[in-house]
Amino acid sequence: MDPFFSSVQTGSIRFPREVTDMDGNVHDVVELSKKYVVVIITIKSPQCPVCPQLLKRLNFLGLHDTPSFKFEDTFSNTVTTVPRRDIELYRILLRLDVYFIIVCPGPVDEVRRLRKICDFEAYPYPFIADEDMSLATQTGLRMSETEIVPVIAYIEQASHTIGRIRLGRSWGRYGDGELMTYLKKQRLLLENKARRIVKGAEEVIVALKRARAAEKNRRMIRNENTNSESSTQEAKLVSQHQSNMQPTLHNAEEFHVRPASLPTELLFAVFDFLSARDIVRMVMATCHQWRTIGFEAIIQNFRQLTNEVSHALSYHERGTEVHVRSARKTTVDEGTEGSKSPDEILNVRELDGVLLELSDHIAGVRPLYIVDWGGDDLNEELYMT
Amino acid sequence: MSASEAKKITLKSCDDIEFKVDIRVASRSILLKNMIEDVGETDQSIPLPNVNERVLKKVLEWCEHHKDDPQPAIEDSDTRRRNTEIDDWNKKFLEVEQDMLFEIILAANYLDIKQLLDIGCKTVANMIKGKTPEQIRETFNIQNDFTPEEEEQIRKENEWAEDR
Repeated sequence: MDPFFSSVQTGSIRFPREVTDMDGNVHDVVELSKKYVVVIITIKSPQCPVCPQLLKRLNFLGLHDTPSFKFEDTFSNTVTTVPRRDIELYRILLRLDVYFIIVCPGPVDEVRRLRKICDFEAYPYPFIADEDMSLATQTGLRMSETEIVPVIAYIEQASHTIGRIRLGRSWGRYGDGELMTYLKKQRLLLENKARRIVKGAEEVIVALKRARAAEKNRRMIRNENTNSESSTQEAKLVSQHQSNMQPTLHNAEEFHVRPASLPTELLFAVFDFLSARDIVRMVMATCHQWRTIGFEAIIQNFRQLTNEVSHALSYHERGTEVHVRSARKTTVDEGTEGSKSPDEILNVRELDGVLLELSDHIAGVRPLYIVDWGGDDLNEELYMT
Repeated sequence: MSASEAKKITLKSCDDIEFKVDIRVASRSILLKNMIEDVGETDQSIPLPNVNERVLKKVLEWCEHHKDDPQPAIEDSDTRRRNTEIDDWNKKFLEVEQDMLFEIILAANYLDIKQLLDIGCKTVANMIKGKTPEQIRETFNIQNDFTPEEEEQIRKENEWAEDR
């Protein structure tokens, strides 16, 4: 097997950390891969009649602001349409999740012409005119002196290696189907993970409320006992005073925390800058007042994060079928009940970032699960306060 | 009244010390900004019953330094929470006694100066980070009001996290 084919298949080729497009702009591929699913599309040559069809199909599938509803393939004499249920999902995938890098053998003028005929001029995606075929050689994609192997590949975020989505391109088989399947899989896996994490977070919130209520209840009982002891002590002191002794009056308040120098709402604002783990380990172990505020801070952080994740999910499930509710600048079904505004949906990388934080929150408060707070003895109404 | 004087207002601290300040500087405070917009330019001093001279002077120093900053965009609380970095000037500015730090935070809250309030809270949060509960109590002069039984429970609660 050709070294390229085997290496692309095993994902051992690294893509350069930076690339310079034909306009001289430098693109930080590492940074881009942190924000997007970076997909490399290679064009066999600027004169190739087949390769531009892929870019045109991407526009048709939803990349373009106003995509056409059908695609006429002049090579295969076929007309395709995007299934109605996929239109919105495709728009999310192509407009939010992915960032394309197009690599084409030079010269620059020809690559510029290609970009124009494919209607890609308005996009930020770099077109790299590989005039000396150095990038093609470096990535093992050089096919001949003037041609590059046509592939669709993704850049693995962590290892920065190239992974194959589609190798080769021919009439009627441009690889957009495999690309959409790949992008869909990335998003759906993450969104399913998000739903699981949100469910876990909701359980933690309930556990936190129970723990908080249990602690409140226990403290109330303790305070009642203290007050009762205090009353007895006070009666003794009155008696001592009456007998002209000079006792030191211990107010019950002295046994409680001294007021912090910041009021509760400002301590809350301070704790808002701490992670759940820091709040559990440091703040909540300091004194009762901080513990109570810590509980509130964690619950609020959880609520914010779970709301953000829930709101950012692009679909909801009906049975096993996934239905997308909205997409950025959707031209079809706009204003449908339940649709989200364009900026409400996070792209896969952003969603992944929020999920990491939410997972960290769950890990941070995990001890509350393993400690018996006596919450089971409390009634349900109290739990939910 | 000259044009330059017209752009100034007088603030009076709770200990009756007056500060004549540029409206642009005072407008870093949303409370004062709204007050100026409602009342218009006035020769009368604006009393600030919750801020003493020492703290007001310090707060106005911050406002003066940040007078040309753009008003903060409405930032979602999550983004705000993630960022606990403080730039060098603000870090240096808040290298003060703890009482003063708390008073600045209280004043920022009262005067509605969100950026100053945020960096104040971040500073306190950074003082908490990496400390044991005992060190936190010492730092903030907090009395440990947990019973030995509760302390034991909290210790168990944190064992899991400590192992990580």
